[in-house]
Amino acid sequence: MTHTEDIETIEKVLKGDTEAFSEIIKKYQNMIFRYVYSKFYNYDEAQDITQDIFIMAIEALNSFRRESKFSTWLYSIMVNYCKNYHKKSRRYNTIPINIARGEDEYELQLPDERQKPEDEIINSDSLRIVKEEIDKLPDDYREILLMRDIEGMSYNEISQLLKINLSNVKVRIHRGREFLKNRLFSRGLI
Amino acid sequence: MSDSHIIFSQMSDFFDDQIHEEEERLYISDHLNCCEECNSEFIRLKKTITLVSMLRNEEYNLPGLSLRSVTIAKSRSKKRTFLKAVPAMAAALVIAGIFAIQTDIFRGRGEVAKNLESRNLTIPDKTGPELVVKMISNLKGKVLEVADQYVEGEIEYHKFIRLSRELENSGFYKIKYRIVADSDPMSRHLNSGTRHKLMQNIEEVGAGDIPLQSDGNKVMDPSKQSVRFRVYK
Repeated sequence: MTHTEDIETIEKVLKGDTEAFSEIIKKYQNMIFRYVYSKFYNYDEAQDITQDIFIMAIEALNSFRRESKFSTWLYSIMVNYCKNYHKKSRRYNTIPINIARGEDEYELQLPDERQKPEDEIINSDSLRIVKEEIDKLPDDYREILLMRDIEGMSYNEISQLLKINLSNVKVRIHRGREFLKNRLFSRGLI
Repeated sequence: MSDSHIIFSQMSDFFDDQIHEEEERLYISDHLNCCEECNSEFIRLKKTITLVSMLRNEEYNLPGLSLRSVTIAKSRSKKRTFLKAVPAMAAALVIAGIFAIQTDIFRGRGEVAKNLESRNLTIPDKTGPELVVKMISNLKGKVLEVADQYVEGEIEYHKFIRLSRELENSGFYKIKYRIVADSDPMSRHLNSGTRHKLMQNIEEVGAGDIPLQSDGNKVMDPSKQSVRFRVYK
């Protein structure tokens, strides 16, 4: 679904076809859940919060101006929601844990590595290690790497979403990447 | 530019195409090609970013999320619409209540009349002779005379009971009547003078139970009786 398709779907929803929003949810649910989970590290709680964010988005859809991408607008709702949720639940000191453990275990569907001819075949173990190391990053760095290197947002978008200036965005990206690179190097992954 | 190694932040900016000066960009590019140490570090950075970006393909098991979210949103929307309408509905009820109190809408017609009388007002005349004539005609009665003060007619006894109730409901408070035998020649083809004399004997009663009139000691058959009546405003 392209940005134009997003807009078309939103128009439908605004005209009363609320069910059309299901397409938007299916498209962005992984993006939202990934961020939320990285904040709270509880699968069920992250699901509930993801649901709340989508409901909030439907209810606030009238306020979406077409000046930015819909994904950016949705992301801003999510970032603000998580900030407020953090304040309410006082979960600042939650200790990051592996996403695939115990009651929070879930199915992780990885891309088919057989299609990669290069020698850098990424296996599920590699990704598990990457995730473990990302979880160990300080909150600020983890959040910004998620936005930049996973979701592919621009520096400007990140600056607007996190309400920090571009220099700070760059600094956090540099430090986060350097921290992660050193960790992955020490674990023999790169 | 110096010949020292490229620092990590420069590499990171270079990777993201955030070096805006052409000269600096060329210098970094050249240096990475000729400096093995920096090149290795840059390759590690690229691998790190590649690995992280692989997580984008991750799919989570979130069964029913879209359906649940949409259903809840719709239900909340309905609730909000209803809650928005509540003040308007309440205001309408209050206005209707005030109107009802002021116009005595909840009271009976008699009380309205008393209320109006106490204020020296009169009931609007919605009950003209035309209405009486129509009501008599509907019940297949005869209209004998339409005067300024009354309408005179004749109707079968059992229909008179219904007529009198309808008249009362329509605001006619005074009905005089006399029961006559159907075969009574006096009840047929009377001129107005004779009828006037006859009607002087009509007794005044209200609508409701209509007693059978006896002819001497013999009770007349109700099916053969007619009622001659006058309806006054």
